[in-house]
Amino acid sequence: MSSRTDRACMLCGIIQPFRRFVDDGCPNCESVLHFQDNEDGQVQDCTSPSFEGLVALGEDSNKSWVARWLRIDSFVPGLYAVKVNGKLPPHFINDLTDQNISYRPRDGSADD
Amino acid sequence: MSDEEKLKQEAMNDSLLNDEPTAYEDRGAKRGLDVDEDDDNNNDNNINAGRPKNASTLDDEELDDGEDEDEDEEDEAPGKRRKRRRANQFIDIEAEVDDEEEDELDEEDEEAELLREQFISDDRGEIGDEANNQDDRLHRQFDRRRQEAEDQDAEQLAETLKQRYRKTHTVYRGDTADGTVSQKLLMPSINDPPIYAIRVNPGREKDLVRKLYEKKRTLARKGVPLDILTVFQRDSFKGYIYIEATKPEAIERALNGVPGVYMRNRLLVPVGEYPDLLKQVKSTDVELVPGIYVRLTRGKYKGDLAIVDNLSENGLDVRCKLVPRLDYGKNDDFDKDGRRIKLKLRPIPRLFSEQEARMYDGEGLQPGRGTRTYFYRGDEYIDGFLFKDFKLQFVQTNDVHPTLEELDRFQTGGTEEGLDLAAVAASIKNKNDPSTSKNIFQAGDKVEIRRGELARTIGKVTSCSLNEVSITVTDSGDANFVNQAITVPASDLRKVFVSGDHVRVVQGKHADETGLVIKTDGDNVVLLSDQTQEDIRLFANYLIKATDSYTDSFNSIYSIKDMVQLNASTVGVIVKTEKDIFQILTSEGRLVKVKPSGIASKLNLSKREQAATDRNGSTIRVGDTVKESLGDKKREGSILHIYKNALFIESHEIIENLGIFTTNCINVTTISTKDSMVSRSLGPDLSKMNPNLKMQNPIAALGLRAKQGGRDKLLSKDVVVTGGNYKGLKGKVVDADDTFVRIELHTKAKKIKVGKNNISVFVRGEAVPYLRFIGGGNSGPSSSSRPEVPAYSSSGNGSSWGSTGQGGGQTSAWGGATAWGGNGGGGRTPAVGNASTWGGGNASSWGRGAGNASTWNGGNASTWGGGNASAWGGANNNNNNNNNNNGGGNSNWGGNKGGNSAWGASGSGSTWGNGSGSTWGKGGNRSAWGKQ
Repeated sequence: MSSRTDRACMLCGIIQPFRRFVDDGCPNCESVLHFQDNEDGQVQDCTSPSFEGLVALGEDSNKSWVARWLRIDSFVPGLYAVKVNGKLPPHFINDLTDQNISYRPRDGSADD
Repeated sequence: MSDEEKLKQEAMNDSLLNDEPTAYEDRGAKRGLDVDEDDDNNNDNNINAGRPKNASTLDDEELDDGEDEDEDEEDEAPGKRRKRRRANQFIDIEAEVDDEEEDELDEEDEEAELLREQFISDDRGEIGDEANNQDDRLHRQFDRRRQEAEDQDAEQLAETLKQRYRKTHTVYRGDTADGTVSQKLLMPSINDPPIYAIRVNPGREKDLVRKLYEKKRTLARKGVPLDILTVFQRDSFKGYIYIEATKPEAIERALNGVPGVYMRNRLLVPVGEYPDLLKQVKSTDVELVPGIYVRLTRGKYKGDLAIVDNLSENGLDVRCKLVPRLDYGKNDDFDKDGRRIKLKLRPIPRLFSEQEARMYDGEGLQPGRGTRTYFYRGDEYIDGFLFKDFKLQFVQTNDVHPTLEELDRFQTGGTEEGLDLAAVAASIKNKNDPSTSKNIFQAGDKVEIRRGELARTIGKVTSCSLNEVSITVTDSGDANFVNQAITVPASDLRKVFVSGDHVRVVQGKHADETGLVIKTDGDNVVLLSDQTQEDIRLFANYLIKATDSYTDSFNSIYSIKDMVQLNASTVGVIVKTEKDIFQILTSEGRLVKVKPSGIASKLNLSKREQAATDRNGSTIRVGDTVKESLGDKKREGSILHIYKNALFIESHEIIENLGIFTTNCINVTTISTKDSMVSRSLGPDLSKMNPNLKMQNPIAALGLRAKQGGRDKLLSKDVVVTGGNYKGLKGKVVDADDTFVRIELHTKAKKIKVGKNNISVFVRGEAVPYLRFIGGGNSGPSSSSRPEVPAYSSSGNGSSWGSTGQGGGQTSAWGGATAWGGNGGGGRTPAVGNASTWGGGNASSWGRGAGNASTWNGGNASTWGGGNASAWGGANNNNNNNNNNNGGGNSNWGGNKGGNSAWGASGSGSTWGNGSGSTWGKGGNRSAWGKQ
């Protein structure tokens, strides 16, 4: 089931195989990160092969404290990582800020 | 596409054929659902697979429709319908208007008009083949219909596309900058769903989470959703998965039939521990920052220590500095075809050598940008070190434990930069290591939480257990938290100091130093050491507040005056401890500076082992006072340590090296022993082994210890027991030691052991008490106590003794070394040997010596001097006495004797009273003294 090609999105933390990111993009962040068929190595930059803690999130995510705590309660059902090593490249963070989206690193460096 | 979906798809297509309009809607709805739920791939397939099929079905139906209509109309009114049809051919609008029957009459004129026009245009068709025309019309109609259908289909498609578009490019639903919620506010409450920890087969956690996810999704599709909210797993909690579910029954349902789960082992996680379960940074994690030590887990350098040089922008690649393992191909073999067979063995780590690279594998080498920078086989080498990018997941940050050897390898290159202790400390961080997990916090410490959800909260430690610290919050971003008691892992805390605090270092290289905090900078504190007067930069957690200034015992293993082994042949005594360096006086007398690591071990010799003989052959032990008999200074002092022949002697008169000096035991003579009795209890008495002293047994009776030459005088004597169980019995002494004699009784064949004090010796038929026999007899002045001397001479102890007594010219007699030798059975300066014993002896010897002063002096001037010095205190007097005059000693002694009254006054009180008082009294020698 689990494969070595799995990567986790640095923004939402969803875990998908690399191929899936390239083909279909990230189900949550596609509108901002545009993984799909992106030639610029977006997937390499914005997803991480190094993550820890597997969370299976169902549809009823709004009731779940776990989802709230991990800030994945508004995302689609799927497998998410608790910790994603790595940070988004700065220019993405700037982009996100411009779009009024708060980026909270999932590598444990967030401090609030 | 899953089977299920395929089935669904087929079913959908079937329904399309049967019931078209609803099928459309249905499909649309279903598609929407699919889109929402699943990936686009399926949708694409749906659409692509569905469309042609749909189109064809539509075409068929429309054709059928058209024909039906045709037939109907032909039945009704062929002419009118034909006209209409013709009109239809060109004017679309007509067709629709046509269908409205009520308008038909009103618009008949118009229609006629139009028809006329059509007739004109239709002339040819009318003239031509009617059937052909009909066919054409049908085609057009079909085209039109198809167009319609296509339009509709396109709409549908657009709708689907729109849906898909909307889905993939939904506005990002995550947190927006405005709506950021602090993690603190997300803290769980009891209203949150419970989380259960479930024991599972270790190693299967991730699989199980995925399985349960699939199960949940599948069941949700079937309309019987599991009531579990999330399932998760953490690498740090092995053998558990966690399920968040409102109802425990849901968990049972979820886990039913799932292998590898121990359902019985299910426990409810306390709400307070929720955040710990989902912490992103574990307390054991080491933050990857440039400079820390890591180990590589893959490839050629697996297991090697590396220093993080830099991190890639996204933190996924780590540029490491490490010692390369290169052999430049020089050990490679070549097979028959001349191909290179790489050596399987890993070359030992060595710094990169340009020369070797050039020599053995020149083509792989390229100069880099800087000096001493090279590219070799695609890797960059700077200053001999390899700088290479490694994937984050192949870098191990925990449990690094760099060995000194490895660190040294890095040292060889970097000259000026010392060891980064902070980095080492971080790498040693390991929760399993009890030494590092030692809690460094004390109640009252001011601390700050340095990471996690409560970061930057400041509090005061109230209590601490092994790894957890309870603190009372004093300052926090959230006012609600102030004064609350919380428990935090010790590793998440940092002590807070302010400039001016006086602190003591409790860990690390600078342990036990004290100093004044002069600057604080995050985790780092700069302090001015009280000891070295230098700045030290340290982790705040290595410090505790201290009011005392603490100077010594940097290292608890070794302390000053310890005897330590430096190597197989070198032993020394620590005479000075400095910061991380010891000054050691070796047995050769050299002073060396040694690091703690240079000390092999501390020598803890037992008293038994620490024994030697001085130049006179007498035993010397630790604590004895000895004096050098060679050398200019004639240093003296008490023995601190003995190692083989080397003595470490501590003198109070010498200043350097703590007054410790070293010398060979051959060079010293004993002045006094620490405790005369000691030899009896501990170890073999070396004096017994000494051939010079062989047969002699020092008589030590209650502090009156008189070592003398020759066999024990009691041997073979007829004695009578004067006390104890055997009182009154007579016998012959067969054996004797310091305090006891063994007597073969005359009355029956039995040997008994009796204290020497409890016997009287028959001297010429007269029973003489032992002490008098031994000491009192001698104590009498040589001149006056004549009667005793003959007794002595008659004791049969050898002619020499006899001569002593009779000669009157005692000097010659005592000086007769041979005579002593005869007694001792040995050949070497026996008199001297004995003399030293005398010197080492105590009061009792004096008792005897007083009588024989001149005699003794004759033989043993210096020794006596020593003896006198300590015992009598009148060192100079006696020295003079002893050194200068042989015969003249008498007068001096006389002088001493003159002090008899003084002696009397001192009452044999303290000095003599040293257990001797009674003995003396018993010995009846008091009178003799009085006489003196």
